Amino acid sequence: MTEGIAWIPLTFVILIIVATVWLGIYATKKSQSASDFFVAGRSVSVFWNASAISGEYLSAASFMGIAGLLMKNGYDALWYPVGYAAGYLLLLLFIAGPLRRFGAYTIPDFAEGRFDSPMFRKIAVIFVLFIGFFYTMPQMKGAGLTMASILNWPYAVGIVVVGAVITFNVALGGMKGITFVQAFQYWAKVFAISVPVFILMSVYGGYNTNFARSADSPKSAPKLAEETKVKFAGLDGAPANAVAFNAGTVTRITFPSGAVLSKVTTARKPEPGEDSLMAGSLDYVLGDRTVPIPAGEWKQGFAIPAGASLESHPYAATRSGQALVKDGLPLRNAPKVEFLEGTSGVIAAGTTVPNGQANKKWSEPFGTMTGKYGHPLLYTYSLILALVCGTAGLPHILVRFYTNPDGRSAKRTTLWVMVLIGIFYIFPPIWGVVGRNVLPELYANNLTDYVVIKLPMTLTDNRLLGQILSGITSAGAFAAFMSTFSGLLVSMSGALAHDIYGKMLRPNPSQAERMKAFKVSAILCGLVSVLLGLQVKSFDIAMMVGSAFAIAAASYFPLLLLGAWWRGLTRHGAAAGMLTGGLLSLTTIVCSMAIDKKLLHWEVEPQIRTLMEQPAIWAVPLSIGIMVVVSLATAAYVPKDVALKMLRLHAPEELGVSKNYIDADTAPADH
Amino acid sequence: MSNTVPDIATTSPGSIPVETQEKLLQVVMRRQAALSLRVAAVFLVPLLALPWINQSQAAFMNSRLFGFSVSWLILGICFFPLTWILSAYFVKKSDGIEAECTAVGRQMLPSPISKDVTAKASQEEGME
Repeated sequence: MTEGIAWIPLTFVILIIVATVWLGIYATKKSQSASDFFVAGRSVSVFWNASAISGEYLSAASFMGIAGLLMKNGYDALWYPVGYAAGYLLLLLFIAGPLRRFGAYTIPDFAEGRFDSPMFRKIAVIFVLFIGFFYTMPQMKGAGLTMASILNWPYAVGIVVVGAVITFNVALGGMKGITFVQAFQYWAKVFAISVPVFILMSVYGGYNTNFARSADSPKSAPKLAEETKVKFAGLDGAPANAVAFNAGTVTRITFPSGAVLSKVTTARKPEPGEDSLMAGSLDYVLGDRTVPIPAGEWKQGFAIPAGASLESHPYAATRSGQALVKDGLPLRNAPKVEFLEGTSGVIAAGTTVPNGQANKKWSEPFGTMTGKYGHPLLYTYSLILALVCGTAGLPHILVRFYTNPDGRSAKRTTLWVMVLIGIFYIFPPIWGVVGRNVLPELYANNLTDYVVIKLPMTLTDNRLLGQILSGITSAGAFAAFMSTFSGLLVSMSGALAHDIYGKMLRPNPSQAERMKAFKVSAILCGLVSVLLGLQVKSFDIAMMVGSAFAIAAASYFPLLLLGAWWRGLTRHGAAAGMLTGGLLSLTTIVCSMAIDKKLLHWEVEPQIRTLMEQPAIWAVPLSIGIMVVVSLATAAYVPKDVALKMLRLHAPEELGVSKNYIDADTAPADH
Repeated sequence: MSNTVPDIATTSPGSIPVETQEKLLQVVMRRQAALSLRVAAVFLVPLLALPWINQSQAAFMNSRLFGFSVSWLILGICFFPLTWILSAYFVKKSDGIEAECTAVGRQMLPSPISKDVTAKASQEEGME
């Protein structure tokens, strides 16, 4: 790990920040009206809009998270890029055209206008802010981690720097400003994710060669090529403070300055009735002395003296003393330790790296990610549903479709977004596959999210090239945080300035007042985002992003799908379904995270636990079902002009029945 | 580039008789919905079948093809071009449907559509 400042990567990061600010200022000169601020004057061309949407969509989770998640979990993680991209197809088929033709500024506009209900606007605003802030937190965490890696600065510095730069840009240029910036950042990200990996593959072998290297030895796991010093997090960094030992070989870690443990359990979740961790499976060795370490939690911590080595001994799992067999093979297990305080250890060359799952589980479906609660198929289906439907329900992405000139352009834009992000998403898995073979030490301290930053630095024969490539990927990672955060900020600022200030607090404000409200809202949202980002260091990036998708899938997706295609949907039905699906999925996700963090001590059935962590499989049908049932029961409240509303959503512009719900540069429509 | 979306005020759609609105709506929505559902089915069936096939045909899905497992090759590489092909097909067909709907809709609408819009539409049709 880098101990000082990595100057070359830092230079690249500064370059991308300067380019971002300069582009923002340049675009600001063209942002004169309220329409420019909110929807870029509805005049963005397909190419620029597709680039900007792609730039906004490819977040920290896409740039760093997928590569890291794939390196960690293998095949199961492939569902993330596929789901992220596939969601756009549903968006194209059912939502993009109608949404644009409605001609609003924000999604709450749609909610209000479709149902003639100012109250529904308020409900929709709450979800915009909630999903937005949920989505912002992992971006902030990614920024903090990357800055910490490059500059060796405290976690908070990266968050404050990224937060300040983007808030400045958004407040300055609004939607039109960030359209240029995000379009530029898409191309910067594609360059950063693709070019370095081609160079790395020329050194370490191709995508398929590296995959085969892992998959062709199904029983083994990644091994350290040389003696490696590894940093371990303490309890405040949970769950990254855990080290799960390999169940195939003896592993030894030496702690030059000692270590304090908080907990010892098993690496693999025990089968029902499986005997507890076997005595003698974990001890520490200091000189001639061997001290067994008992399983369990210790309030004061279990101290391992400085210079002692922790040694794990895998064992055959038993139930009531009888050997356990699964799929015809004897089942094995090994200890897992969690550290109370951060420390560092040394692992010998040739050791199978802790936390790295066996090649078979990694390369084949239903590994440790989807199978962690014993219901991998259920987990997989729910994850697919969350990602596919969630993409079509993310307010900060949907709001971009209003920047198209018309419905036809919105469809073409979506098509090109799919091409652009599809090209991008082919690359992060390559980083994960190559990283597994070249940089296995990242498993030991749960830092696989760093693989795109650290992998280029392994080019020790040409350190300058390695530093330059790492600089490129660092800049790409920064572009990822910045573009997504920009979009989130515009979406949330739009909700505050347009939906709350311009509709509730001070109806019919002047253009100058609306623009001022937007800028103030941007600064406010930026400040809150920074503060939230500082609180989530110990939370998992992919989990937080996945949660935002699941909530969007159960709230906005059903609203938009039925709102655009079913004339019988009433405001009562839409609100009931959205609130029930959205809030229930939110509650189960938060509870599941609290259980992971040991804040809640619930004993939950594995199947229920799977449905708590991945609620989309029940929450989306529930939300749609409630919308249908309640709407049928309140059919009298279907808007009288529903046929006209549906025409506005679907009729080609050439027929002349379309009308922007909010017209550019005019006072808000009186609806 | 100026806003190309026609303003409803110029064509007074509120004055379109309800029966005409309903007929026009049927023309516009029905074929688009059928197209969307058809393309969604072509996409969702293989997507949702894949986990089940991974489980039921594990040996085949884990066999090697071009150095990858079959399942990895499908999900990690081949799925993206499939989405491109389907969306390109959808956009092309959808544009065709919209053009036809525009022609039918013009005959249905009682009052002449604004000159600008008609001229623009004719220009586009001519280009096609």
